Amino acid sequence: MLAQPVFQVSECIEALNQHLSLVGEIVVEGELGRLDVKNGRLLFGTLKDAVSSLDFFSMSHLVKNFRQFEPGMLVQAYGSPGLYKTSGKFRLLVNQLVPVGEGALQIAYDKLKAQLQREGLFAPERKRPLPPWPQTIGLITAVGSSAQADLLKIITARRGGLTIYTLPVNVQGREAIPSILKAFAYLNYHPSAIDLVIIARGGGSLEDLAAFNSEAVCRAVFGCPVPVMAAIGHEDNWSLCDYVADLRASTPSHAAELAVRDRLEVLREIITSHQWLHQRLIRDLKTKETTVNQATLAIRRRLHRLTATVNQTLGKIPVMAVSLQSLLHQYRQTLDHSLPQFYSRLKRDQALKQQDLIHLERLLTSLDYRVVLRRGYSITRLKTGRILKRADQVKPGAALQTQLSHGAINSIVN
Amino acid sequence: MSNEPALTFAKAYAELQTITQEFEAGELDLEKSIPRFKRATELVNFLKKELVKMESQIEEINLDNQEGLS
Repeated sequence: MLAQPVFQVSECIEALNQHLSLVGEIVVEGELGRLDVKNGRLLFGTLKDAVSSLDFFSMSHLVKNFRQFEPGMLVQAYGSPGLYKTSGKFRLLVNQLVPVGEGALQIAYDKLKAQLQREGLFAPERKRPLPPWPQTIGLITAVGSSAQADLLKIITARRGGLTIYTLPVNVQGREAIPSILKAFAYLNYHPSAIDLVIIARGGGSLEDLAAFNSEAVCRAVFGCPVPVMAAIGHEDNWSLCDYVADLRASTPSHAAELAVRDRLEVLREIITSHQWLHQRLIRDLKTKETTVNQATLAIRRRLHRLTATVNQTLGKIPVMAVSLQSLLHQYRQTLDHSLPQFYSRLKRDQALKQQDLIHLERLLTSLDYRVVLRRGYSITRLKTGRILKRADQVKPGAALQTQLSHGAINSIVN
Repeated sequence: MSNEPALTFAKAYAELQTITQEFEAGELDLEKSIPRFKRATELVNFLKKELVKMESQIEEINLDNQEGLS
């Protein structure tokens, strides 16, 4: 008989973990007993049913939606069984935790909705306007789904010349979230390749729409570099994606109508615009023509008035000439009458002036000393030229000069 | 329109709207409004040509074979 192998404690736990790893991933459904978060990233929880309970462990980066859960919810835990190395206690290492049943899903929905709303993911002010004329449109839908068919049918009927990219995803089931995230990763990687994204899915239960109510997909929609329109589920049944998207359409068909305007409608609009512009131009031309005509008329009237004034003035010229001639005649008559009087007065004044002149000349002649000399008088001057008036003005031997009427005598005083 | 390769439907439509607004505002004199109307006619012809296109291109993106995607 072979001896029983003896394990050290750690070896025993390791050996058992190796056996358990052969089980692979399992899904355990049960009511959530507790869910504790330590250090913000370590999750410790319990699943239970009427008979048993099971501990599980996970990390916040694996179960990103851990805030949606609360005790009492029915959940499915995806994970691998194993033992803690240190304590040897059994736990399920969970990589995905999914609410199950309408009640649990509704609670998770409500909690996540409140959280995203608090964070501002639904805020109207962050909604981007959709491009009015998208040339490239990305459709995130399930391949062959009625949502995709409706979108393609209506978009292509309303407009041509577009490029439509289909980004095929799973819209329900375990692969739904990763595949949708991959589609958004593509858009993040090619932000300028597409003008508008439509994410669409037909109606379904909360369980069917779980991916569109997941936090990861909501955040992907929020972070998408391209405007997103969502058309998930029924008209009155909004998914959380619908709240996050830039615009929500009630159905995929409605989304197509909102995304692309009908060609005939646009054609009518631009033709109407063109006709209006033409009419406006014609109206402006007519207005200008009227203005020019009015201006021409005004100029003609002005010219007419000016001509009349000139003619009137020209008509007055002969009368004015006659009047001027008469005036000139009067002046000439006055001049003819006044000139002889003026000349006679001038002559009379001249004769009087002549007589005065003769009289003055005579007077001047009578006063001339040479006249006195001619009567026999003489003038005796000293050598200095002074006139000798008295005998004591000279002494014997003084030289004198005596001026006569004709000539002079020089003498010496004795 | 061949000498304007950068013209797109969106740009043409926006420019047509701008011209319409200019006419509505009544700020253009005839010297400007006639060339603007000619431009509007070019834009309308371009838009009509775009609108009568019937076919759209539909292309499926293979998300499992994209570089840079996680």
